Amino acid sequence: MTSHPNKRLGDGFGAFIDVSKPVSFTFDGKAYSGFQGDVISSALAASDQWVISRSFKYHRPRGTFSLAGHDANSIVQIGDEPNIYADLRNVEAGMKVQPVNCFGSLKRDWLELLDRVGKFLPVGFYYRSFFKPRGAWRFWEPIIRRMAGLGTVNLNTPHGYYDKEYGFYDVVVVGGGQTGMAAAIEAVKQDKSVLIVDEAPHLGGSLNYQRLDGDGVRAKQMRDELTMEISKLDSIKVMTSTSATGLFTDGWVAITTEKRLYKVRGNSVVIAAGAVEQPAVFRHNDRPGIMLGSAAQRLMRLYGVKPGKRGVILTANDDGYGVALDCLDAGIDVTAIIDLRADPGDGVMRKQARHRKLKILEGHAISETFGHHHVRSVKVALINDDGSWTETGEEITCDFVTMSVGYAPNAALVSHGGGFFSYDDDIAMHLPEKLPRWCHAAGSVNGVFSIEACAADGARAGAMAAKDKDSIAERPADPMARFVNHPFPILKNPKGKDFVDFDEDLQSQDILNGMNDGYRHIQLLKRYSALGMGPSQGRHSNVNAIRLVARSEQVNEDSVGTTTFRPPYRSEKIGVLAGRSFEPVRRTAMHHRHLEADAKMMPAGAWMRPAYYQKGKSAQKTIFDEVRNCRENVGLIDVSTLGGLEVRGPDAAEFVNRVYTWAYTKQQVGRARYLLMTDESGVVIDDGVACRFDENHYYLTATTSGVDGVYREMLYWNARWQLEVDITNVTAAYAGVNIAGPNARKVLEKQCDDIDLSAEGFPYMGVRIGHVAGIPARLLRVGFVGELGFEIHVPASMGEALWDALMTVGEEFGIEPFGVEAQRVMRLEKGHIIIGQDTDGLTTPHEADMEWAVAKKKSFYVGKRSVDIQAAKGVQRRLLGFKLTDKNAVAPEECHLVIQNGNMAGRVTSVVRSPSLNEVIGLAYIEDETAEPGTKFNIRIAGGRMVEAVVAPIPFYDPKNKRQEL
Amino acid sequence: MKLMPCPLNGPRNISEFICRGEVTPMPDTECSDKEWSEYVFMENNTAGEVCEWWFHVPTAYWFIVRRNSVSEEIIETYTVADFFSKHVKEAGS
Amino acid sequence: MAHMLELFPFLGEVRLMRQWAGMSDITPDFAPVMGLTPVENYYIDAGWGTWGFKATPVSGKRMAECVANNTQPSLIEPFKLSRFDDFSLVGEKGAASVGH
Repeated sequence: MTSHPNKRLGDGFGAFIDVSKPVSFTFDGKAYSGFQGDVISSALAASDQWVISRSFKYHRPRGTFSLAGHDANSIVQIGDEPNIYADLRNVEAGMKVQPVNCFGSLKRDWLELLDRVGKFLPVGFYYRSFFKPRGAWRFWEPIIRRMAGLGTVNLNTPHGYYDKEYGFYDVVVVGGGQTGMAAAIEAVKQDKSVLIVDEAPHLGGSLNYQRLDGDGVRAKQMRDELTMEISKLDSIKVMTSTSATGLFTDGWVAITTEKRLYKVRGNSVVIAAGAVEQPAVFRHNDRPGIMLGSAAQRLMRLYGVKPGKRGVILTANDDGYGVALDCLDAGIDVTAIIDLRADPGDGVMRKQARHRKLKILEGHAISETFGHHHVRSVKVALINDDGSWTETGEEITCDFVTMSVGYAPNAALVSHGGGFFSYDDDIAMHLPEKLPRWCHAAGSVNGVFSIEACAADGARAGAMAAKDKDSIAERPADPMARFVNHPFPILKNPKGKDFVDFDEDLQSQDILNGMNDGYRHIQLLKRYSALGMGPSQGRHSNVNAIRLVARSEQVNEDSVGTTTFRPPYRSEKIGVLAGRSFEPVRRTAMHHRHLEADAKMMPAGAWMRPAYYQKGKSAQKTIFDEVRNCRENVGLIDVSTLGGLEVRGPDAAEFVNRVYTWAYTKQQVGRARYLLMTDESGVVIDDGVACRFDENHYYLTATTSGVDGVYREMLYWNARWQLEVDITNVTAAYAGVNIAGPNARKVLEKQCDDIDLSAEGFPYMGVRIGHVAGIPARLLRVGFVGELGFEIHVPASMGEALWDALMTVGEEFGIEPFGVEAQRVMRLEKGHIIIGQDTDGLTTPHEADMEWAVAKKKSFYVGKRSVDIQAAKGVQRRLLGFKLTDKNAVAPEECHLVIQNGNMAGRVTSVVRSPSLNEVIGLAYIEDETAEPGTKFNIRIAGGRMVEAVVAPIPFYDPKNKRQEL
Repeated sequence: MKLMPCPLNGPRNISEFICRGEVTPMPDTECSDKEWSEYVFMENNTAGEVCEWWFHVPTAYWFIVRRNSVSEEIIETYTVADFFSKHVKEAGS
Repeated sequence: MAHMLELFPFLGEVRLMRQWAGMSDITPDFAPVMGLTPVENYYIDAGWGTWGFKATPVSGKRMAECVANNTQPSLIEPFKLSRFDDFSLVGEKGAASVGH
């Protein structure tokens, strides 16, 4: 077609490319060459490669259409990167570009046969097919999976580097065209900081490629003036090649480049994003070589590429004449201008076109096109007075066709921000309204087109944004606006292939059939037909579809309504949304000692804790050895992560008494007492221990994962009660260990000489303050694991020293550290519950067998009324200890079900094959409130087998609790 | 992302906050079981102005927000002291 | 999302085309509310918290029975709205679905 591949237009054309820098790349395995600044589609077009992809359903050849990345035609794959828009990605040396959605080759796609059987694939056919007869889906699914997808994902693609940045501006202007620049300049007059975001590599918007006057000089002139002024203003930050992809509450704008997400807060936002040129609908309107008028202008003005040699210009406004004049300036033959309007008026460019004696057919349209891989001719039709059309018999040979029939606002961000659209019959276009107060729309997105009106609209919006005024739906008068958009550029063809939605291959009859199938509301029609659900998200199809619906229903377009745009406006890589991975981790003061002892660390909330200390044996053997050593000698565990709360003040006891279920006002100083917490609905939510160090001083412990919530609730309750008490979360301020085992006292005595550690001096459930290894310490004699033990809390900075001191003197007594897993085994041997494992979101104290921790005579605690109501009803289930009747049976696992009479009657919450007792023990919910030790029940384990269990008394180990009370 | 004007910290991203629900007085201990269950489980679900307990997590700060549940507009925020000095003080036990 | 990419690094290059979010309603016991209400001729089948799809065949039939006879069918008796009045909350028997 062209004998000079890659010869570009010079002199007023090719503004974005640098012809001194050629770039070589491949497409579909063939070598091509472009220039720096080219996008993939412009470089391909320069080399006469117009077919870029195959359409989604019918596999029709498709090519460059908008050159703005608005259509799915331009989607390609580059290496491991799927879904690149050829219109938006610059060519780079060595780039390997692949077409998508073709089976066989781009040139010979054997799935094109679908285009011939289109009759059998009506809209929504896939809802009614592929599943009969029974089993048919198993045949069809793999076939459809292979056919689906606009690209491939390489499962071995490594994660690239992406990051995020924040920005704060008084005014964010989306769109750096004429209107956006005017808005920014105005805002700066009010001393505001301004950000302009534009997707193109340079400011100017449509001024970079559109023609505004007969001579074709005004646009560039205006662009140069405005960009010069912007460059002189320091308080305007300009970001080009950047997309504003989402608008959220209170001026939060998501702005992305390929590698970075900017989270920007604007006090006000001006949307000057322009308008999207719309296609005309006629038979075979989708052939490669048929493009929007602005696409032809972009090719010429930005990239110096000729759209072809002989063109047919379809138009319904003055812009189409501008395209024709641009073609003449580029030395391209314009065989005909077909104007849909019978009475086109006298735009400045139409005047010039007539002056240049171009062939113009007023009141005519294109009825059909011909050519397979590329358009080669069009048929002309006359539009009759009643709106119908008749072919004239004329067929015009051409190698490209442009369409200039109107625009739709590029208003995705308006939708995101919560704005709406109403269709203005006068200018045949949707206009934004009901924007949030901080969001202003201006320019062609706001239905304003002439140079003067855009300048005024931009200044208006910029001023209002800068002054923080509430936005209003208004626009300056623009008499030209009525002559821009054709109200119905659709020539519905009984032979079909007149595409309304290119992404989904929807023809105009498909839209009507969808409605006939019952989906008359635009939202239902969209979901039924897939209209607007493709990559272009309705940018080229929504408006024409709405016009078809309106005409069919005989209502106006406004009452048809619209569907909703959602972020992102431009598809974003998931990597950009993810950014860098930050995984904050909390470490205890003894963290390094654990690593040195080869601990297998596990997460507990945000904390890292040792699960067990690896010894080269199996995990279970290691854990059981830790249990044995603790029960026979002495063990040491890091309990720093457990919650710690200081409650101090004259009302301390009263406060604790109101927040927890048991009785605390009479708790003696120097004693610890079990804490059980319920919420207002009577559900158990946390537990711990209350240590009274003084009349007015309580030190409370809480679970690792529960303490933050407990602290929050405490602050809430005291905000209501206003008791004289200070509550502080000291979890991170203290490190803690539990030293447990028959030798625990002997070890501790070696490091503690200011506390009487004897059984009489420091009985079980006592608390003391003193020093251990010279470190100020709080000592608690509590017994989670059921052995003689002391919990020692010291200031966090001294945790490691404490650990070292105890490990050193404990060596002669066989001290070994033990981890969370061993602790869990030991607590289960004692029948102690773990909140959140043995209790769930509905467990009340009575169900958990904890009535003993609920005060009988208290008049109030949080949740008391609810606990009482539910206790009075009687429990439906109870948490009880169990063993297996056959000691050698397979052990159940947590959450295995209790089955009674074939029904679910509970579940196992904790279970282990106890190393101390050599049999399986556990806790389970049983739906039998009368269940006593000896009652038998069945548990269903893996494979559906049943195992018989028997209710057993708790504690399993050391039932009389003698060992912990030594 | 919505901004919450915290009485202590000024405007902060709403992701820093937790909403606990309506400000409702605890009913009298003499109330019926049904009245109690309504206090525990039922919200008024008013379409319009509501007062809610909000918590700023990083600074562990409770305060009250009066907002319009339909328009999402935040009308005013109060310190707990200010809010309750304007309303009836309620019993805790 | 960063965690998702730790599991599936290749998803970093995949593009997101459209996203939206909505509120998911949850009842205090994570179970739906079905059947009669204190308002005459006003029935409810709600609060499934996005987990109701699988149950639609049977819940549709029982709700039809409820509306036709103006009674609370026995199968959906535990899910009545008034269960909260006397704390007859419905938990999942077989799983700790109602987490903290």
